[in-house]
Amino acid sequence: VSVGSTGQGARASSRAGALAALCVGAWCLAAAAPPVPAALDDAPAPEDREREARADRKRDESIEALKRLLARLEEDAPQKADLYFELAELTWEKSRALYRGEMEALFAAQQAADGGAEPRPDHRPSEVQRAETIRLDELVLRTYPTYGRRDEVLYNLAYNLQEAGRRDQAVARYRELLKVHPTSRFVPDVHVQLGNHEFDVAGSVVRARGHFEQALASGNPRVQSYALYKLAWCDLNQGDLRGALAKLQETVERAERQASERSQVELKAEALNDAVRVYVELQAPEEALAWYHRHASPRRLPALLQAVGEGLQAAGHHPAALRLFRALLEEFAGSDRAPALQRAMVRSAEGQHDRALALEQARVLSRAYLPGSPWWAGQEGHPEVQRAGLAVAEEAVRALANEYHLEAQRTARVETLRLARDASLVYLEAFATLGAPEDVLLQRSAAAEVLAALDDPAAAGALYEIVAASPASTPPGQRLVAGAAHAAVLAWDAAVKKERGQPSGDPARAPRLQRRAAAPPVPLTAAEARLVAACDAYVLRAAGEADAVDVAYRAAVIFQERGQVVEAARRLGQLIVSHPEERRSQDAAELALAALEERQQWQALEQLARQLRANPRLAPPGSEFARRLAGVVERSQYLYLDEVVVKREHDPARALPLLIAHQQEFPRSETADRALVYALGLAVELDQLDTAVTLGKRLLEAYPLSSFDLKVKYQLGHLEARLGDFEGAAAQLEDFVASYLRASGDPAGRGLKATSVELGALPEARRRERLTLLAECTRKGDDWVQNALYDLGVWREGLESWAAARAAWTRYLQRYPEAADAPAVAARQVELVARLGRPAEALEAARAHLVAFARDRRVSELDRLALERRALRLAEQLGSGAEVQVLALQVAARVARLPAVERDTDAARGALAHARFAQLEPAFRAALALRLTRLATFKEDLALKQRRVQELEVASGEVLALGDAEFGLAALSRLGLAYADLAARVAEAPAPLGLDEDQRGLFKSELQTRYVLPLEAKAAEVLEKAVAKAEELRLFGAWLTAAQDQLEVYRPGSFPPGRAVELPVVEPATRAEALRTLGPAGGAR
Amino acid sequence: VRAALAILCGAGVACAPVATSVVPAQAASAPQAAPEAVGVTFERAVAALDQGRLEEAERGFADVLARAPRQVEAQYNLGVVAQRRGQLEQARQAWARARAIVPEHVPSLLALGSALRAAGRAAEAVPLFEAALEADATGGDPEVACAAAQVFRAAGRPVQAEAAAVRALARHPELGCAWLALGRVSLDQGQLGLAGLRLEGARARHVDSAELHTALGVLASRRGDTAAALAALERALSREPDSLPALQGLGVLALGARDFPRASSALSRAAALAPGSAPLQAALGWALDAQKGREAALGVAAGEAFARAVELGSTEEQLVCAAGWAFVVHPAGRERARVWLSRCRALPSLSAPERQRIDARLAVLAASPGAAP
Repeated sequence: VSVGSTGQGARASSRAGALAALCVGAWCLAAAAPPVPAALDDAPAPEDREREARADRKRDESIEALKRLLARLEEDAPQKADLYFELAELTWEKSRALYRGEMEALFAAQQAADGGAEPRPDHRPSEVQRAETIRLDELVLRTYPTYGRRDEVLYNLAYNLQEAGRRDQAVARYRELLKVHPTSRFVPDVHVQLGNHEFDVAGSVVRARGHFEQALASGNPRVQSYALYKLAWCDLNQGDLRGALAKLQETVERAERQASERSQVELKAEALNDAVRVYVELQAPEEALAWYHRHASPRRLPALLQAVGEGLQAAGHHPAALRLFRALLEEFAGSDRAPALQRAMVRSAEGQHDRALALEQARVLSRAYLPGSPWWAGQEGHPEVQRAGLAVAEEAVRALANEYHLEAQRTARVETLRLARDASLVYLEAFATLGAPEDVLLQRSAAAEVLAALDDPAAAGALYEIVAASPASTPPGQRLVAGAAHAAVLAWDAAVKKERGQPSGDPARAPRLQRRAAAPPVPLTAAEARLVAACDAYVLRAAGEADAVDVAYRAAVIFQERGQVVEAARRLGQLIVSHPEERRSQDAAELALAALEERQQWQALEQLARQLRANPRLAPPGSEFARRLAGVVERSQYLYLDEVVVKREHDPARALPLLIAHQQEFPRSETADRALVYALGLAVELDQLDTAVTLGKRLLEAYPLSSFDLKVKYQLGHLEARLGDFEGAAAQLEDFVASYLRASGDPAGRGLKATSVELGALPEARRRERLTLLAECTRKGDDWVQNALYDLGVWREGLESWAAARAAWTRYLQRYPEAADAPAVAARQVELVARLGRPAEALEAARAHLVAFARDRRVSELDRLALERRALRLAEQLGSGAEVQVLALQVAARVARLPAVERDTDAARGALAHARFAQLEPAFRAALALRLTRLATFKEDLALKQRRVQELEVASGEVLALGDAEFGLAALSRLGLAYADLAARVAEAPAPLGLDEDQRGLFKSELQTRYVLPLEAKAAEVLEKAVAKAEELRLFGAWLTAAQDQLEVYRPGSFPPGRAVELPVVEPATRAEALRTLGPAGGAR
Repeated sequence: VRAALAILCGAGVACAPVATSVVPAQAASAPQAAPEAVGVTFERAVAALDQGRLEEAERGFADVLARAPRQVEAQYNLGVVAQRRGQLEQARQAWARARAIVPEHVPSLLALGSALRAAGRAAEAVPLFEAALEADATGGDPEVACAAAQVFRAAGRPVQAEAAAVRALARHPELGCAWLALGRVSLDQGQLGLAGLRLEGARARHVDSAELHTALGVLASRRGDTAAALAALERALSREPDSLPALQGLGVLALGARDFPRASSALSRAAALAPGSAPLQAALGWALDAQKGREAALGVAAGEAFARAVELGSTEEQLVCAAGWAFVVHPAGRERARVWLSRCRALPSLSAPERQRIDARLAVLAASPGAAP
């Protein structure tokens, strides 16, 4: 504070400022700080530096000029004292300038050091100048006792001595001035200086008060204000608080009246500051509020009042502090001070041991200054204020929580535990994401600990889980995290036990694994699920810890207790594999396997068994356990595929490769051939017939004694047929039939008599299965043997393997004479024998069939008619006329017996036409047989032959009338041929005896003209009709050929022989294909 | 792709337009010139092709290729444009370029292979179909295997053909085209019984194509059942009136069965489809010649057919004589009869009696009114 000096010169004024600073600090007895250049905080601007440099140079020039002048003057020159005084002034100014430079250098060095060794100030140059000033002042006093400005010189000298730390000399000079110059204008200032000295240095408030009262009595308003201010301090030191307050208030009022003077403004500020202490001592917050509102500027008002509040708080006057802070919070709720004020509320509430209020205020603090709060919004644009406010709140709530936790730990009382819990929860609710991670971690951990102590294990466990999952960068944090994982296990274990009404205890010790009756799986409770999660987290973190195994077992047991055997087994499996030496491993293994098998959890069982088997310490190779595990793996895998993948999930595409892999992995197992059969079926279902065939063949090759051989052979036969390989298919079915007959021990019969030789080598289960499979082969409704024999017959026929086909049909008829299609099969036999080139035998078979099935309901009359007609053809082929006639009669009779509807069918008409045509054959032959070579009977013979041909014509007309194309054509052709024969025979008729050569020629000519040519014309007419009809109906056959041949005789060139030509093979549609329109590729279609 | 293969499986299998649903996959590898714009151009060109605006389609695909030179679908579609114009060689070239871009592009392989096969170059088509089969390694597209089987068979590779068809059946047992291919392989190899079973297998799977009925006709013919054979071939022609194999088969069978009108009818249609075939012309000549006794004018037609066969390079000397004797039956053919009989007479293999017959006939011709001096 620059109180200022009454000195006229610049020097006196400057020295007074420095002295005042010394005085103000007396209240706390602190030494005055060295004057600091105003510009130190901010480096001088370049233009200021330049100006100062110019001033320095000017000053130095003035000093040098003065020195030169003084050197030239005589010692007794009247103006010399003034010149020395002037020189002293300049030297002092130079000292000040140097001092500023030294401080600038010091700050620059401090900045450059940046945390290194602390630079020390070097004031030697300025002190040299100060010493020169003192020397010059003393020179003037000593040399010029009559100098008119001695009081001023004395004051300056005292000031410089004081500055130089030579206080006693300074005080002496001040007192000399009072004594020698009692009316000097510097006297009030000297009293101030001496008062300060007495107050600050000598410690005599009474003497100080004396000096200040004399100063107050002076007429100088500036000095009076300062003296009044200092007197307030004297009152304060002498315990007169009200007196002190009154003087400070008057000081302020005086200063306000002289507000134009800077020193008064500053003095007011000091008085306002110092009144804080007085109000605190007086415990008068309301007075303070009122007074400061009247006199403090709006800018300073909150700080001053806050200082009062803090003073009250520090002095333990918490109720007063709370009143003041509450009032301030109402007034400055949106200000940057609000967080600190609210923090002060918390502290004062806590200071007066009002925990509820403290917690309540902490809650306010934890909510009011967070992002999103109105306060936060009000500080928009001032992030540093927002951050500071948040930090204040966080620190305060954290501190409160810490304090409560310490107390809770110390006392272990329920109420303090609750306080600690609540405080932590208040903190976590607000600052879980805003506080420093380590602080949050600590609070969570502490809260969890308290919750556990308060018997709220679930809440504790939840918090411990969060802590355990938190990152930590510092060793203490890492220890917290590590500890929390285990603490979470303990907490959730306690929660589970509490839920079950069990006593708490170490989770690693109870309960144990126990074999339990199969029970439906039950979901874990929430607490159990959390316990499992905590266990898992702990095991993951503390894999190497001794209790990790126990904790892992605890989790597995939870699942087992709840009937979730798959998960229990999985966990136990991991434990067993990782800790085979553990005392519980073998038991656990047995237990897990049994539980999974009981529940038919095949996949889990397989996985577990594989895990166990892979561990040689648990299941040494060759051991009984290892063998058993191998069996479990194989069986469970098969059952999984069968029951789950195929039957439950209906996923054949997934099952197929797995079944194949199963067989490949366990080729010697009991399920190997079964898996192949299963895979074969799935491959068929998936339309992967090539795979199915491969699998079937693999089975037959690798497992020749498999019970499934019959099934596979049967399937293979049909699969190969579906792939177009009928030869292979037929061979497979023949193998199937032969195998079946061999296995059943009844090659010819139908009964099932599995040979004891074949079954003897099989285990009982397999034997039963074999018998079942054998029975399946002849199951009613789907008799594989019957199907196979039938298909064999058809395919072998198709392949033109007539003998093999006949064998199949024969066996079919032997085994299945009662089958619905047996008569049809027997009829096919007739055709087969005919195809074998044995028509007589075929005819015999047809006859036998007609007899055997004469009254069989499975055979229709049309079927019988067809067979009789086939027999008729065979008889015709054999040239057996009598047989033909018998059969023709039978056919005609059968047609006649047909119901009208059937009689009107093409088959019936064709059969009847065929029969009638055949019946006319004797008449045709008879007509042909009559030769006209005997002259004696020529006339009669001709008449007879003509009659026979005419009869044939009539009868042929009847055949034609039946409307059957084939035999209509045949009848027409035959009639034409009959006419042709008649013509030919007439033409070769003998000439009457006795005719000469000419007469015979004439006779022949006449014969040709009158008889032969008309007959030939008639023959040609009939034949042409036949040929035309054949061409129209696209009919071919021997009768047509005969007709054409005859016509070619009559009209050479009309029906030349057919010509066999060969044309190069042409691939279908080549050109059409090339010209076919392609569509574009791509596009949005 | 399946549809593409269907059309290309050839030999009467039901076919549909090619239309992959893939928006140009290669566009991604095109230069940075606005891939979306390339896609839009492509789609517009496809639409134009669909609607028969070939010029516009061609410009569009060319534009796509200018900006995305490796856009295989566009290159393929240029082949389709050319094919629709009947420019088969240009089409083949376009597809070959598409294959050069993406060697395993199945539509291009099949189009190119089928084009080669259609040109009678089945052997050259074989590697293309082999590549197509390899590209369709999972057997997912049955028509690929069907088409391949047909080509392999046509190229005289029955084992390969059968394997391809069986491969198709293994995944698609009801695939009629595979049954048909197997049947034809068996037929080629003279396994008539097996062929019958397989062809019936095709018919049972609803194959009703000209190719099937032709094969059934051939089978019946080889079994001596002319009536059944002719009926089957007639059915083939009812399915595809321009089926050359069916027409040939029908003609040959009818000729052997003395159904000369039907033979000449079928063979003349066949000859129109394969105008360069000398054997066909000869067969047609015989069918017509057999009818000249009933209708003299057909003699001239027969003579002309024989003459074309000779002109097309047939070395059968009897055709020269047959032409002469065919022309001679009708006044309109007498001049040509003289020429051809004279050529016949000059044949060194001609017997003496036959030469005498010709001399006599030439004398008659020389004496007949209107004869050349």
